[in-house]
Amino acid sequence: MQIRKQVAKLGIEHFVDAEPGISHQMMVDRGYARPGELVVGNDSHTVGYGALNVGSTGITRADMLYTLLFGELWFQVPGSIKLVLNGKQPNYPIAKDIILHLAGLYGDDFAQNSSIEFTGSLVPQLSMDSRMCLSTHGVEVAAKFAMFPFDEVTDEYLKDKTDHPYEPIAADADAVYDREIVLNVDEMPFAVAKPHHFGNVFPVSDSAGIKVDQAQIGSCANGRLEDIEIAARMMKGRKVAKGVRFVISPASQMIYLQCIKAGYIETLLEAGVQFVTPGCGICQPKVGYMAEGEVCITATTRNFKGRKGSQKADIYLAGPLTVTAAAVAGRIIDPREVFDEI
Amino acid sequence: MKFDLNQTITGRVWKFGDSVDSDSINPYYIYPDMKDMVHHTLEAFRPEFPKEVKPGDIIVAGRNFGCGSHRPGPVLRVIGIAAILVESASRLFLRNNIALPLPIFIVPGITAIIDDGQTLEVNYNKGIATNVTTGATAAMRKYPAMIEHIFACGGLPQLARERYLKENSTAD
Amino acid sequence: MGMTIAEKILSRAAGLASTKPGDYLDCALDGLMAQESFIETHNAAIDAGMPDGLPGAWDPDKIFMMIEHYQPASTLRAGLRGVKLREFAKRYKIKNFHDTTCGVCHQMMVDNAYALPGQLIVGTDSHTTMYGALNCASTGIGETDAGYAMSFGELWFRVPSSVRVELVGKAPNWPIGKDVMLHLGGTYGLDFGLYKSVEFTGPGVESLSMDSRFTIADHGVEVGTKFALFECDERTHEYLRKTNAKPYESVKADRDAGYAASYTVNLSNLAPQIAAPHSFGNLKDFREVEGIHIDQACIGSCANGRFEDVEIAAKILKGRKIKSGTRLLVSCASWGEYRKCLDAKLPEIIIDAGGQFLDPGCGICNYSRTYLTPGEVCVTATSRNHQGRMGSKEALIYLANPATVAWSAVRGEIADPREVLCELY
Repeated sequence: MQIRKQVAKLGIEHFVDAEPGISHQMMVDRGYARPGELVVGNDSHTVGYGALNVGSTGITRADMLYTLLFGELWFQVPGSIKLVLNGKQPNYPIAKDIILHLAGLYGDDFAQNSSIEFTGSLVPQLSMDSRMCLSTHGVEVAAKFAMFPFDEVTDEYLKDKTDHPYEPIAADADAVYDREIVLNVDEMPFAVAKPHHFGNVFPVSDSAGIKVDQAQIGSCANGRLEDIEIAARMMKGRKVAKGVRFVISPASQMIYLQCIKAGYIETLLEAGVQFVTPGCGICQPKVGYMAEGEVCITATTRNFKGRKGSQKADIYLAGPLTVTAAAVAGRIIDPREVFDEI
Repeated sequence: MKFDLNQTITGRVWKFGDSVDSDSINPYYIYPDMKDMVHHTLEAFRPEFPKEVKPGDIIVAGRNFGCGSHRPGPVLRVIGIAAILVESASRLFLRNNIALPLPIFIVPGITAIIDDGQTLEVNYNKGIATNVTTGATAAMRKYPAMIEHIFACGGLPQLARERYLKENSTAD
Repeated sequence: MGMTIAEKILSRAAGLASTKPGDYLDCALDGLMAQESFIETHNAAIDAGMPDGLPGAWDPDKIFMMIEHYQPASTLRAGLRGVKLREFAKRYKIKNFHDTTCGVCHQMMVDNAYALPGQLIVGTDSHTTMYGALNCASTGIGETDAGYAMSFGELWFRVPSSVRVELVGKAPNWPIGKDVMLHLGGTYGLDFGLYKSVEFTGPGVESLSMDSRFTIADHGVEVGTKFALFECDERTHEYLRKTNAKPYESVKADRDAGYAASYTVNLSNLAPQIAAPHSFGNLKDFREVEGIHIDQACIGSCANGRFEDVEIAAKILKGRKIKSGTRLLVSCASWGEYRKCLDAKLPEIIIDAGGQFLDPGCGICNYSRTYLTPGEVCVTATSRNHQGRMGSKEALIYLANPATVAWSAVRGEIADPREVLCELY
C-alpha cells in the first residue's frame, strides 16, 4: 500500500502492481531496459538485463534513494572478463549447466566486481531466454555486469517491445581484459550444485540416486518459456513420481500467457505438475516451504541454507531438464537415463 | 549514524569462512521481524553466534562475504557489530554497507593473522589491522575519497539529504 | 408423519426406521474429509493417552485426506503439516489422498465423486455443507470429533429440525447462488438456519446450475445450518455421471414431512445483493454502496471458484481493462475447475484485462493470497467478510456475486452489475 501511495505522489509512469511476476522479467517483457543503457535496480538479479546488452546491476535502499533523487550514482569501473563459450546448442536449454559448471571450476566469486562479456561460437545460437539465465546468474558468480553482444537475436527480441531508440555497445577490438575463460559446452556434463553453495558443483552422476521431495522450475533464472517448454515436452505422456511435488512458476504474466497459448499447462497438469502463479515465491520459502530433512532439486536462483524454509532442508540446483528428470524418477538422475529422445 | 573513519576500533573477533551468504545474515523469509531476526542472524553458519555475540564485536571472514541477494545487513548493525573485515566482499553487500553505513573493510590476508575469539584493533587511518594478542598485522585497503565522504556523512541517505538541500537552496 | 431429507438420511445411518427432530442418534458415517488440521486430531489422540496417535482407521477407503489449505506450503507450520499428513496417508493406507494438485477440499470431494446422494459425510472444515447440493447430508466437525469418526466410522448426531426454502421463478443466465444466500441471511438473520437442516426446493430449483447450487449449499454454514440440502434432479444425475460416480440412492422428503418454517425466494426478480463489512448478513442496497473505491476484487474459494463464476467474470472483462489502482484476483476452487476454464480459454481473457489468474486453493479466501492493509477496501465473491479475514482488521470487505466483483474491478469502485449484464443478455 505504501508503494502505491508513493507512486502516485512521485508521478511514476511505469508502475506495475497486481500483475504477478518478477520485476526483472517485466523490465525485459516491456522493453524498459535497452541495449547500451546503464540501469540499476534494487535487487541483486538486476544484472540479468545484460542479456540485452544493458549495463545493469543491483543496488539497494540507500543507493536507490540517491538514484531516484538525482539519477546519478557512484561506480567503480570494473575489470572485465572475456567468457568464451564455444560449441553447439543441443535441443534443450543448457544455460544453467554452463553457469553452474563455471562456478564449480572457478569458484562462486570468480567474477567478483568484474564485468563479464560473453562471446564465442555458442553465443549466436543461444536463445534470449538462455542469455537471460546466464546474465541473471552473473550475480551468483559475483559479477557487476554480465553482458552479451547485440545481435540478430537481440534485435528480434526487442522488435515488438520498444520503439524507444537505443545504441548497442560493443567492446573495442583491442580492449584489455583481466582474464579470459574458455568453455567448450560440448564436453560439459549436466551440472548439479549440491547444498548449500552455488559453487558446490559436480556432474549429475555425483548426486545420482538422492531421493527428492520437491522439484521446481521458475524464478528470474529459469522461469522463461524455454524452461517450461522443455518440462512440458519431457512430461508429455509421463507422470510425476509418487511422493514428489513438482512445482512450476513462470517468471511473468506474459510468459504465463505464452504457456497457456502453447498448451503447455494442459500437458503439465495431466502429468501431475502443480503450476503456480508467476512470481518470486518459488525461489523463496513462500511457495513450497521445505520442512526439516526434505530434499529439493530446483532450477531457480539459489541453494543457500534456509533459502526454501528449514535450514535442515537440502537444496540442489540444476537445469530444467535435470530437474524434470528427477521429478519423473523421484531421485536425482542423469536426464539421458530417463529421456531417450534427447 | 555517522562513522568516523579516523577512530580506532577494538573488539573481539567472530571468524567466518568463505561465501557467507546474505540469506544467512538476513533470514527475513523465515523471521520477517527484526526483533526475531536478531536471534537468528548467521546461525546457519554458527548456531551460537546470535546467542553469544556482543555489541562491539568484530566479524572477520574469508572470500565473497555477503554473497547472494541485495539484502543489506542492518541486522548486523542492530546487534552492534563494530566492524566487518573480510578477504573480499560481494560487491552488492559492500555497496550496501557503505551506504548504510556499517564499517566494512577489505583486508587481504586478514584470516591468516587472527583466530576466532582473539582481539583485533582496526586503524583505518594508518591502514593497519592488528591482532592485539600476537601483534600480527594486515594492511587494509583504502577507500577513495568519494567513499570516505559517504562514511563521513553518515551514509548515502544523509549525503542525499545534504545535496538536495544544497541544490534546492541555490536554485531558489 | 413423513420425514425430511435429513431425518431420512440420519435414521438410515442410525439403523432406525424413523426419527424426529431432537433425537440423539449414533450414526454410521459414509465418509470423513480431513485436511491439514488433522494434525490436531493426531495431537488430541496423543493428549488422550495414545502416544503414537490414532491406532488405526475404520475404513481407509472412506477417508479423504487432503493437503489443501496452504498449497504449496508457505510457512514452516504448513510445511511441517504437509510432512505429517503425507506420513498419515501412508500409515493409514489412505487411498484417496490428494497433495500438490489439490484445490479446495470441498471441490475435490465433488470433482472426484467422493460425496454422493443420500450419504452422511463429515469433514474438518465448516464449508463441508457444500455437498448438500448433491443431496448428501454433510457437515463440518471439529478435530476431536474427527478422531472418533476416523477410528470408528461413527458419530453422534442430534436430529435437526428442518426448514424449507421454496425457490420460485427462473434463475437468470448468470450465477445467482450468492445472491440467494446473501438475501436469506440479510433478510431472516444469520441464525435462521441455526442447528437446522435447510432444504432448497420448489419449481425454481431446476433452473439453477449445479455450480450455483454448490454456492448455496456451501453458504449454508453462513446462516448456521447443519445441512443445506437439495433433492436430486436431472442436472444432479448428469453432474454425477460426468464425475463417474458410483451407484447411489438419492433421498427425497416425504410429502407430509414436518418443517419448522418455510421461506420463499423468487429467482426471477432477485436483484444482485451485496453485504457490507463485517458480516454476511449486513445487506445493503446498491444505492448505498455504489461508487465506493475498491483496492482489490476477488473471485474464488469453495463459494465461488467454479467455472460459471469465472465465466461470467470473463464475459464482463472481455475487451475491457481493470481500472488502474484496483487488483483483480481470480482463483478456481480446484484444478478440475481450472482445467475447464483453461479449455474455454478464460484465463487469457482475465489476464488480458489485467487480472491475476492464481493457482487454485483456499488462499484467495484467507489472507495468505489476499492480504489487505488498514483502510483498504475489497469486494469479493468468496465465502466470508469477517473483520480481519483478509489481513488487517481495519480493512473493509464487501461480499457480492462474481458479476458484481468483475464489473466493480472494471469501474474501480463498487458498481451494480446490471449495467453490464443487460448488455450481455
